Amino acid sequence: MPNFETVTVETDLLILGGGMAACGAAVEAAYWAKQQGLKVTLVDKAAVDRSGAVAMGLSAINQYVGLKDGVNTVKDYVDYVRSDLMGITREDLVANIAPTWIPPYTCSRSGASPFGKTSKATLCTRAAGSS
Amino acid sequence: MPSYVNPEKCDGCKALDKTACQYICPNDLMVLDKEKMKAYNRDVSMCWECYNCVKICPTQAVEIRGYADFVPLGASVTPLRSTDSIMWTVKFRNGTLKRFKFPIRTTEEGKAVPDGGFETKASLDSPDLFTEPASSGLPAIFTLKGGANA
Repeated sequence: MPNFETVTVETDLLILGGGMAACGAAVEAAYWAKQQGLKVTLVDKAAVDRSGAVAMGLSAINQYVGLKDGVNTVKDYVDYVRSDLMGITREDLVANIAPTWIPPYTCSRSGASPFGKTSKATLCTRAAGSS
Repeated sequence: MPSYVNPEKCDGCKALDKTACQYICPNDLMVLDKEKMKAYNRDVSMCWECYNCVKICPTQAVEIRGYADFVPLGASVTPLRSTDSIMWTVKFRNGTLKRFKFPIRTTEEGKAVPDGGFETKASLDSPDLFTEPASSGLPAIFTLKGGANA
């Protein structure tokens, strides 16, 4: 076992791991923390370049919904996640995260989605501050 | 099957502080033998075959033997990464060669724009992320009627 050097870092918010979710959380946290004068630290056990499953090429393209261009509906997304997880899923939670996730690199590619066009889901607008 | 280093191709990244494979390995498995100036995988049982060391090696010295169920003996799957693309060379054991080239994109460190140029109107009292709803391309973030956040 190599003798690792111990470095002490003082921080307000510590994010463990440098995968896609952690990097997203860090970007979001940094925006708010800057206004509040708080420090955000993200640590990864190796290199952030290739941290996590998405950086290795897993499951990113599958997440393309394209709501704004009417490519797919929220229902398409929920159907996809349900079948991917063999029926075990909280559909309301899946539906609520679907539209917010639009990877920038899929936006310009038409027809990149694994879903077809199907029926429209019934949606309502989330009011600000309602959570 | 774990990654292994071909000593004939490995140059130990020319005595830099750390080799490329040491830097990228998520399990900290790659080490440099400084006498021989060759890198090697120190614990093959811990290797996930994630291909990170294979893709990053500047001399294509690292290889992975794929599992026999999808890469039969005598066949190989080898990536070659350049600045704007990655090319996979698939060699079948009957000698057939196929190459697949895909574009890749890298944002230089420190060059990423956190808000992506989107309007930042959200407040901490709102469940929206700081670039929402602008970054979703929708007038407002949708949620299910009667759903968890309704």
